[in-house]
Amino acid sequence: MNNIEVVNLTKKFGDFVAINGINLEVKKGEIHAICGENGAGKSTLMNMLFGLIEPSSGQIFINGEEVHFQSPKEAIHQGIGMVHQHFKLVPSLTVYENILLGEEIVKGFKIQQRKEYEEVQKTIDHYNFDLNGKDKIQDISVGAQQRVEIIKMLHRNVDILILDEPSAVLTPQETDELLDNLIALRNSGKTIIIITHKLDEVKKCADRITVIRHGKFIGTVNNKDVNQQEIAKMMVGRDVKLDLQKEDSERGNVVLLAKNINAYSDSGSQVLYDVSMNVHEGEIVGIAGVEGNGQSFLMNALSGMLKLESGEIIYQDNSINDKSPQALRDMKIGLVPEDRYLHGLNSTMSIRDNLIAGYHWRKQFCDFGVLQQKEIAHHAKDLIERFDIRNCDNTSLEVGSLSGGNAQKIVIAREMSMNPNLLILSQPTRGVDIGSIEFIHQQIIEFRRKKKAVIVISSELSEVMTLSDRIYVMYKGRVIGERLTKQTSKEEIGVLMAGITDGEAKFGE
Amino acid sequence: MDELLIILHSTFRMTAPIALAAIGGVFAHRAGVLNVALEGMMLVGAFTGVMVSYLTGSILIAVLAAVLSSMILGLLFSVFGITLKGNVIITGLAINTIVLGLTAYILQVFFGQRGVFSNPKIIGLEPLDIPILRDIPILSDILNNQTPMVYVSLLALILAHFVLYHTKLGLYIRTVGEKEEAAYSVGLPVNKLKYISVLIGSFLCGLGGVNIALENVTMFVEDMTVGRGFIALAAIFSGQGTPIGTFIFSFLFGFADALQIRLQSLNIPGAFIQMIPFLFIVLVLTVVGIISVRGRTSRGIKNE
Repeated sequence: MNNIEVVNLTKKFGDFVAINGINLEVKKGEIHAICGENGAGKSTLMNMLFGLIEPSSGQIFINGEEVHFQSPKEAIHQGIGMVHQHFKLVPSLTVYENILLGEEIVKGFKIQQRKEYEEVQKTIDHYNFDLNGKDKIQDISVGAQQRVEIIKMLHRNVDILILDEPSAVLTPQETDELLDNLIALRNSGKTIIIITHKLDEVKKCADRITVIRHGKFIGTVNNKDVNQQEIAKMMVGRDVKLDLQKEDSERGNVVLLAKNINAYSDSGSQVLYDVSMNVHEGEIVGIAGVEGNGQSFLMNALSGMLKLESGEIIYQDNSINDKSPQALRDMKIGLVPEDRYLHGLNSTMSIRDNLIAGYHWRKQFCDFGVLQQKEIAHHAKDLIERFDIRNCDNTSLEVGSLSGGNAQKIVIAREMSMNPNLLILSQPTRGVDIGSIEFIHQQIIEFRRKKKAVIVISSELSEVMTLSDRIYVMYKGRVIGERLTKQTSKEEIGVLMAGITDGEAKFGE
Repeated sequence: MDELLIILHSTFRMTAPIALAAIGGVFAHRAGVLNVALEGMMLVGAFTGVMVSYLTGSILIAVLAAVLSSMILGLLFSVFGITLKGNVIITGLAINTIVLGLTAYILQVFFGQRGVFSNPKIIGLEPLDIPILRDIPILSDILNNQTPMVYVSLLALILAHFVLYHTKLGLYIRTVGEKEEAAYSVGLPVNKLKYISVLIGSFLCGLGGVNIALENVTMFVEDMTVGRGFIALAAIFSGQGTPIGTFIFSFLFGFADALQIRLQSLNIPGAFIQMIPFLFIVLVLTVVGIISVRGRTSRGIKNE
């Protein structure tokens, strides 16, 4: 029996057809993956199922009954719950308070905190989730926060759970845990729809896969009948190279050298211990490690956002210990920060302004303090074409209106277009779709061809392995190992990431 | 020792208006609405209280009218700042300016007074001599024989703490202020909650105005709140939006005020003495600022 049936569903925003006559059947008790590139209309489709957007035409049936949701509340009432990509949790409240938000248990005026906690912990334990109801949201990991969102829906007795890009914010370990949880939920009879473009995850957990492209239904297939290549082809509409080819690098002089850097976080704990590393011209150096082992702090230290306690960072024979990100950009270092919306972009500023942000006062764009709008618009148009940034016909629109992949392309286009000597990228393809990942990777390799230096920090091991010539592995704030990519394997790096070494000396300078 | 008790007694007296406005302001603050109109709300409360007391001779009606007038301003602030989504700072400042001008205008046009309105027909609130309390040593010197609003300010502290941390209303207000999308996603009435928060604030501001005009003195003086609404804001921020923290900072500021009054008998130029509370506030805020910045290792603006 079909839990959800969507017939000829269409959504138009003005002249733009976001969803064009889509048919979808989701069976009870299956994990159904909705795959498509960014901007294909996956989220629009799900938002219609969840009552956030009203369809222009077409029908939605839940358990054989036609429904017209006006709000998420009605959807939840009908047993449909959604976990959004950006969590809707209150950081200073506890897990149980967040889960029961709006449905508190009261006696008179007073909230029965102990009873609330017990009720919620019962649900958590019932589904065997790794959560403590009394923890505050601000103290738990992103993965745990997502589990809170899932429990929040389960506690409201939903049978159908929609997850929008659930792994976009998770570390590989957390992702595995999530997939295990989803499979367990499916086995207990829940229906799960997962929106994603990460094919390895789809292969791991889905029963059936529906692919949409440019708002159109491409097909629904059984997971066991297809391989990753085939799904990618359905999504993108052409053959996609999942493996990158790159020629050997010709190493030049040292561009950046970090010597024994130590640093503390704002909360006063040491986060970098004696980290030393270097990168040469014409070389891509990868920093691998399980998320939370100091890579973010290393990125902040290298990009001038974290003060060093001791040690030195030398760039082209000059110390850059006390330089701001702005000064570093002036010294021809391109910076692609980890969180594009926090440090990479101003999401309420226009696309074209974001394409010059950080370089906006340069003579080319700003003459006597006056922004040269014509030049800026021209520059934007040029980059959008060169970097194949989509949905950017109007460059005065807010950057926040772009999908993750396109927003990331904006950051990368901006930093690369200023022709730096060294490019430092942190999580360059997080939350980015396959087509864009392929493109960004090619750009990085093309950049190396020009004898430039690149540092790539990524928690995606496969990304580090594909791109880098040399890899440093970080563990608990230290560099625990250094390997030449050609002489190592995913397994060996994986072991290092877990903090296991046999105490051997590091590979030479 | 006696000197200290006298200063502490007068500290509670000087704290009351600041604490009332500040504890009231905590609600709007926690709901994510910056209410800079606390000043105007207090002033209108003081003015209305005095006028109604003079006209009716009933202190009860005067207090009710003071609260009502302040809440009307709260409503006005909410309509422009919340429903119509105007800039809350401009809305708040506009309210302060209007109150300042309007009270002076009414005073002059209808009562023929300039700057000060004082009349024997104005009935004020007298200090209370509380049984039991009067027999406890030390405590009676500090807390007995205070005016009603001093006790109300202590009651407000306890109630505010309870409401904010132990009731649905408080939980929802905190949710709205901290993560509005979370409130929307579970269908909480966001705007209604903001209205309630602002109105609780203006209710207490009205009482603060009564304290200033009908307890400590029984008259109205133009701009007689002299920035206490803004001092209350400083107390809220320094106290990080918790009722207890806010009260502690209100108390500190009240202490500076009490000290100032005490020192007026000394042979130091009056203008300098009157600076003490404000210098004290600058000092306190500087210390609070330094403590929060110290130990930060990331450069530039706050990241997290």
